[in-house]
Amino acid sequence: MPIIVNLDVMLAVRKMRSKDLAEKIGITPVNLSILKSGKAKAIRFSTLEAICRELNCQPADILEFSSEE
Amino acid sequence: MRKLNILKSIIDIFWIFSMISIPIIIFLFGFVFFIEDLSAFNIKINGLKIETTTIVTKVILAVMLVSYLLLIYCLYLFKKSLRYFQKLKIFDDLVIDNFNRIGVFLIISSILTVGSSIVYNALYQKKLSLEIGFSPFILMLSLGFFFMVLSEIFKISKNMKEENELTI
Repeated sequence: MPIIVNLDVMLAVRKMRSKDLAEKIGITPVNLSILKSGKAKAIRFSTLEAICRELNCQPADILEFSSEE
Repeated sequence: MRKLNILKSIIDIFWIFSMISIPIIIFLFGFVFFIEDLSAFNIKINGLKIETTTIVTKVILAVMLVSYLLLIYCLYLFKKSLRYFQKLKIFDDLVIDNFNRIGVFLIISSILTVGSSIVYNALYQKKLSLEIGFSPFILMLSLGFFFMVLSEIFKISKNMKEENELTI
C-alpha cells in the first residue's frame, strides 16, 4: 500500500507503549498491531481522532503517502 | 438456516441416488461399448434413441457418459459448498472456486449433451432441428453462467468483508 503508517515512530517519540495507547483509545492491541503493521485496509475518522488526541499529533504525523509500491 | 438444511438434505438424497447409479451406468456403458449390435437393446438417453451400432454411436454414448459424470461432479462440488455454508464459512475461497468450477462444468456438460444429440440426429436420423424456448440445454447453460456470476459476486463480497474486518 502506498500509505505508510508511522504509528510506531510516534509511539517511540511519545515514549508510549502500544498496549497503553490501545487501552486509551478503546481498541484491542491486536487491531492496533494490524494498524501499525500496515495490514489495515482503512481507518475510521473516530480512531484517527482518538490516536491524534492521545499522542498529541496531527494525522500527517501518523500517515504518510509514498508513490513507491 | 432451515432452508439450507432442507436444500442440503435434497442434494444429499440426489447424491446417494447418483452414487448408486454411477457403477450401474458405467457397467452398462462398458457392456454396450463392446457389444456389436445395439439394435437388440432399447437404449434411450435424454430423448435420443440409439438404434444403429457404429463407432460414432459409441463415441456419442461416451460423450454423454462424460456429460453425466460432469453433472455428478457438479453435484458433489455443490454439496461440498453447502457443507461450508453450514459451517458459516460463506465467503471462503473454496466456495468461490467451487461455484466457478460448477459453472464451467455445467456449460461443458450442456454443450456436450446438445452437441452429441445434434450429431446423432444429423447422421442417423437425417434430421436437424433447433429448439427455441424453454429447453433443458438453455436452462443448464444459463445455470452454468449463473454459477459463474455467483462466483464473481462471492469474490467481490469476500473482498468487501475483508475490507470491513480490516477497518480499524
